[in-house]
Order: sequence, then C-alpha cells, then structure tokens
Amino acid sequence: MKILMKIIMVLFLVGIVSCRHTKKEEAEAEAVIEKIEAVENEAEEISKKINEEAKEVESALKELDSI
Amino acid sequence: MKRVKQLLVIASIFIFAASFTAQAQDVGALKKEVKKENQKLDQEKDKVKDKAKDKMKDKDKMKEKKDATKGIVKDKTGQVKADVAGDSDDKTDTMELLAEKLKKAKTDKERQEIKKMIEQEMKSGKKDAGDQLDDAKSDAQTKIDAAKNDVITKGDGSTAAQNDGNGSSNDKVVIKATELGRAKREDAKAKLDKKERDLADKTELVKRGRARIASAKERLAAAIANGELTEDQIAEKQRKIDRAEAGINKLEGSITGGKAAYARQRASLSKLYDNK
Repeated sequence: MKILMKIIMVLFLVGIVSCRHTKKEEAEAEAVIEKIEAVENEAEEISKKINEEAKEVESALKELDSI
Repeated sequence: MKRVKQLLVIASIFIFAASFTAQAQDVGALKKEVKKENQKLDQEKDKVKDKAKDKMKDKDKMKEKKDATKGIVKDKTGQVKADVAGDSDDKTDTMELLAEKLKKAKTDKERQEIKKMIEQEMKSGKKDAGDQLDDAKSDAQTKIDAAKNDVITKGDGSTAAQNDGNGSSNDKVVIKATELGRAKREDAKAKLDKKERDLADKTELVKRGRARIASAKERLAAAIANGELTEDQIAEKQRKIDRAEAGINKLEGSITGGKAAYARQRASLSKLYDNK
C-alpha cells in the first residue's frame, strides 16, 4: 500500500512538472505569434491609410482636368 | 532479491506512466493546436474567396471602363460616341472633357498636352485593372502558401515527430510552435514586400500628380493672361490646384513614413527567431 502511494505521488509530480514546462513553452510561442500578428496589423493599417490618401489625390487630380 | 524485483516493477511502472503522460500531453496539445489552426485556415479561405469574388467584380468594372475610354480615344477630333456619352462613369466624364478640350484647342502645344493627358488616362485605367488582378492573385497565392505551410507544420505532425525521435514530447511541441512562428514570420515578410511594391506605385502617382498640377497651373496662367476667366472662376480653379497640391504633399509624407515603418517592422520580424 505504501509503495502504491509512493508511485502515485511520483506520477503526480511528474505530471505537474511536465504540464508546467509545456505551458511555459506554449506561452512563449504564442507571444511570438502575437507579436507577428501585431506587426501585420500595423502594416495593414498604414497601407490602408496610404491607399485612402491616394484615392483622394486621384479624385483631386481629376478635377484639375477641367481647368 | 525480493527488493530488486520490487524496484524493477516500480521503475517499469514509472517509465510507462511517464512516457504515457508525456505522449498524451503531446498529442493533446497538438490536437488542440491543429484544431485552432484549422479553424483559422477555414476563416482565411472564406476571406480569400470573398476577396477574389470582389476583385473579379472590380475587374469586370474596369474592363467596362477601358472599353468606354477606347471608344472615345478613337475619335480624337472630339466626336464622342452616343453610347459613351450616356455613361455616367467618372473616367468617361474625364475623357469627354478632354475630348472637348482637344476640339477647342487652338495651338499645337495645347493639343499635344491634351493628347498626353488622354494617353495617361488610358494607361491609368489599364494599369488599375491589371494591378487589381495582380493584387488578387498575389494575395490569394500568399494565403494559399501560408495555409500550405500551416498544414505541413501542423497537420503532418508525424514527419517532424519522426525526425525528432530522440527528443522529448515537450521538445516536439516547442519545435512545432517554433516552425509555425517561423512560417508566420515569412508570411508577414512576404506581405511587407508586397506593401513596399505598392508604395513604389504610389510614388509614381505622386510624380505624375506633380506633372499634372504643373500643367494645370500653366493652363490657368495662360487663361488668365488671355482674360478668358472671371475672378470667381480663377479662384475656383486655384482652389482645385491647391487641394490637389495639398493632397500630393500629404500622400508623399505618408509614403515616407510608411517606408520607415515597413523597414522597422522588417527588422523586428528578423529579430524574432535570431536568438533561438
């Protein structure tokens, strides 16, 4: 009975250590992916802004044709 | 002897349980990750499909515009065909105005300028359609490549796991997460490349815009000198020129800022896995 308890305790310990290790690595990987996604979003916003401005310029230039 | 037997039994149970726990954790984590990624992929696929449909619609529209402008340019003396005249499209209106101007032009210099503007309009119509199609194609290709990378990284876990047979299950999870991160980084870099190419196109627009502003200024000065315009007309035309100039300056500033931001983003993406 004593031995069985010891085995269960050891297994429990191994399980906990293993889970914590995996979670830490997963969190790190997730953080990196989040960083990449943040960069992508920022680039997308910049591009959107420039495209909008370009459209405005094109319409302003069209108005010049009537001069 | 009995003690040794006991130890052996405990050791085998321990090894079996440890490997089972680790394996279960590995499989569980991977399944979860794959499921998450699959959901993302499905969403991306839907988005790409919708975008492709929109782009095809745009392409059809641009084709219609091109057909309309072709009809007008054939008749350079100003005889705009009746079917084109009925078209309320912006580009067609511009071409009509230009055709009218060409008709009214007195000097050869004016005629040459108007002809140049007609050619520019035609080119820009053609370029827009081509650009939009290229954008749709390259966007779809990027998404497909990213999806392929993700599937290779996530779906075919056996390949990476088999190659890494000596590592622990946790290491496998970390390797897969790193591979996924690297694939995403490369995807992000490809997107940045495309955006930088778009910026080059916008720089061209700024150049062309400045030339058109200069030409408009010249025409206005000539009209003022000839006394063809009232004070109100002059003010209105000057306002249009100022508006275009302000827009061009703003766009130029945004392009410069965009270039710097993209360079900074590229550097930060490159740093992400350099120390690992």
